[in-house]
Amino acid sequence: MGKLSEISKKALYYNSMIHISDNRRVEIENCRKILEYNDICVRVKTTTCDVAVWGSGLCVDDFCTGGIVINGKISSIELEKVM
Amino acid sequence: MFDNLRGVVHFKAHGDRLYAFIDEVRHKKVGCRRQRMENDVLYATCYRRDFYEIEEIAKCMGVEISSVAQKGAVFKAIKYRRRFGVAAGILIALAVIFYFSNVITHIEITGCETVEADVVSAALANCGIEQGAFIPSIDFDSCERKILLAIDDIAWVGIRHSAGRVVVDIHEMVEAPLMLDENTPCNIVAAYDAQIVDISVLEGVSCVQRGYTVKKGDILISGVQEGIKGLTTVKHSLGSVVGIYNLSVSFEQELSSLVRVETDSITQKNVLNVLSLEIPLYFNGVEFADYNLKTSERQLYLFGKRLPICINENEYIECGYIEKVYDEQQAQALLYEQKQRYEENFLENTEILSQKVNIIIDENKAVAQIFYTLKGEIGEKNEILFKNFN
Repeated sequence: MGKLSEISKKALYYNSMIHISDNRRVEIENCRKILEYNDICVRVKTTTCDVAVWGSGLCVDDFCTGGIVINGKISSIELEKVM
Repeated sequence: MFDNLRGVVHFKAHGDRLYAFIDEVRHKKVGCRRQRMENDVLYATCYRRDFYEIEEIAKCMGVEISSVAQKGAVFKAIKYRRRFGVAAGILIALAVIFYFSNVITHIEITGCETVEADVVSAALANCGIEQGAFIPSIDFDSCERKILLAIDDIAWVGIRHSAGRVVVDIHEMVEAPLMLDENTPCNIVAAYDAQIVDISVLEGVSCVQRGYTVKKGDILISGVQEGIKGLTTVKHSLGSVVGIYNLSVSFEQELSSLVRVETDSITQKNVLNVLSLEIPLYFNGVEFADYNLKTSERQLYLFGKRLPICINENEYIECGYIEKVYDEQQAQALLYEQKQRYEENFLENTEILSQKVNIIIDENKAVAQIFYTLKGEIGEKNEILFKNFN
């Protein structure tokens, strides 16, 4: 069942693509919800996992495309599988 | 730059359900940029149009939202949206610019020497080129051709315009030189009964000599020449024959006559001329039956620029007739004036040897009879006419 879910997400492009540009910019697609948000940490929920972006002076842009763009000085990114 | 035109709103939001607010904004697909969180306060930027929707979402979520700054030309424009005078002024200015760029305000005619500028102006007016005419509706090429056909003395005409100023360049026709008739066979005959004092023949056969007396119509220099072998040829006679002759002329002067004179009654009527539209600045017409008119034009200028507005000042001077009576001395003086004019006009190249003046004055008029003895050219050309044998 889990394997079928994975295949369908891939087929329908529901999986999240994360694009990192240097340590200044992170683009996360298919972002469902912002869980936590302050100037050192942005934690968002995607279709497959929770993504935590750590850094300083973080700033979020939302262009109504289902994804978000995080700007700032990024130090680390954590991915946690949603059970 | 586009953001500056559309207008962006920097706002801040805070409240218990701030994350729900952010998710709802994302869920409603409202563009919200530069989001950053400081001390549980969300600072973000959105377009002016989206801000009202974000305010509605914040109201539903119980989040307090307030605008921090507003940037963009649209906010400055909104401030003046009720200033109808500014809009009206801009519209009027645009209308004035459009009007004066597309309407003839001034016509310049250059190159007129023998042709009167008024004649050219009238021809231009017939083609539709006059003050106040709409320039895009004028076909200048066609007008150039029409003017060439209308005025014979013009060889070339060019019409150009810059904004409301129309310049008409005119090149006049160069007149062909007068052809000298030097080939037509002719005699030189006497114009007066005279005594010859000098003769010089350039072409032809002399028929008289110095000291001869001739009657009017006698041949002085003949153009008919007979050769040694009996062959007769005709030529164009050339030469000068000077003689002494008598001439009598008479002049008349009425002793009383009606003379048209200007009276002291003067009235001034001004007309405002705006783009050839004449607006009278008076209510009553001219009350004089007979008058002389003096006109002058007063042009209006703005910052040294000539405006298409002027005031035509018309001065009407009443005229009347009075009977003027001349005494003998005045009549004689007038007769001598006539005599002087005659001598200046008709006896300019003639030497006056003697003259006798008889003045006869009766009840109505004075007559001067003048007997001249003159020395001057007496020969005049007289064409030899042939019978056509063909």
